[in-house]
Amino acid sequence: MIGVTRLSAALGGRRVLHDVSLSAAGGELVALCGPNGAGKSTLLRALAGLLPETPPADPRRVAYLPQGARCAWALTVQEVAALGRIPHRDQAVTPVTTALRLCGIEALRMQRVDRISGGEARRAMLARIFATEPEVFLLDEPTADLDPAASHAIMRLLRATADAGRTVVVVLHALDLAVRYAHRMAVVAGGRVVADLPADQALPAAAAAFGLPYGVDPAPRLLPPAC
Amino acid sequence: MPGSGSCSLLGFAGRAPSGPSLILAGVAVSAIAAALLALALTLAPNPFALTEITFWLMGGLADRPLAQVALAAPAILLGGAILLSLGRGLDALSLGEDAASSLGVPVAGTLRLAAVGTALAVGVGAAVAGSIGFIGLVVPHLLRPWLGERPGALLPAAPLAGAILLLTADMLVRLAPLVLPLSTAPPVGVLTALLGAPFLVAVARRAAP
Repeated sequence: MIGVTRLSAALGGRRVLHDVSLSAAGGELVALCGPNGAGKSTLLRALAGLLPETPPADPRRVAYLPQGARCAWALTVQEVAALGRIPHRDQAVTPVTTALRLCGIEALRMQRVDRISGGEARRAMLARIFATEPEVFLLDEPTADLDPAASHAIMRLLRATADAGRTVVVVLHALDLAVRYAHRMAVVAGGRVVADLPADQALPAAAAAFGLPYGVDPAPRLLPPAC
Repeated sequence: MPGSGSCSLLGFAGRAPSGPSLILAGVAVSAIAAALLALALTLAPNPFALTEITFWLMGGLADRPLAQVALAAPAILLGGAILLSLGRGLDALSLGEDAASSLGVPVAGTLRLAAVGTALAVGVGAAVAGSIGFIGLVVPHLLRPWLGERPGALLPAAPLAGAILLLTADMLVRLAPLVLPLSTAPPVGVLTALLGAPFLVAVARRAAP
């Protein structure tokens, strides 16, 4: 369970969130969707307790993956994942190994993160989150560098994580992924949550936020992998 | 001087220094330091003091009495202890400030302690030994191929390797008059700069995309 109530926040003197309330419960995968600059990332940072206006979260309970997360040094994949144990102040091996396996990068664990592909590096960052074994996952565009197959794999993993009782809040630009995998979609526009609906009913509101028409497009497209 | 330098460096660069702003701040601080140095030289009361300052500037381990070591040791040990305690925080900071705070690392406090620890250890060391450059810049790069790049792993190893490298360089310059036509041993700071600067350029070239 995590949330903010009637939060307003400013970034460099500019108000980016206006009286926003959002909460997510255990067992829920919530997607934050909306145009660039709408305040999605700020809202996620608010949930993570990283804004001056929000109290800091318990780092063992809440894990946060920033947008475009990178590592300044060329750590190995395993070292990056092990950073997720910092809140617990231990060097437990099992959570790190499990996280690497869940993210499908067990075989790369001794590779340096600057010598693997962007998608693999993104999974290493995600493994860092899983290694913390948090109750709440806050992820800013975790599929940004991933190809369609890898995106589906990560979203399926996040859905399974939510279904196992965790709380997962994800900023997503890929609306099709949001509709397919999220339980709920919160549409953010102009610093406000303009819709908070079951994901399969939120597309009209999302379309309105983007200023795009909404309808059925019969063009051929890639489908998610069969289970 | 390096102590006040590293503090004012953080002040110049603000709380979240980016690469370029940190470099510009470094250029600014070194310009101020050079100006203060020139001022100290012009204010020297007699030619003897002038020579003393010049020899100190060249940097070296020769002729430093144990009393000076005893004077410097507490501050260096305290600064070193502070820096050694920052391993986890620096590891977390390699993911950026936001990720580090979300991991429960006090980012501002860690940066401040890093500045204070460096100022204590390096500042007092330089006050006694003069400016012996490039050891601190070169050693971590030498160690990374063996130990990996995790800051927390390099933190305890770098000072040890730095001491070994400095003592080796010191022995080399003291042996130099035996094989080269020199009347006295050159200052060790000259050797570390002559070897260190090209090494850093090579590292920078390799790191460039």
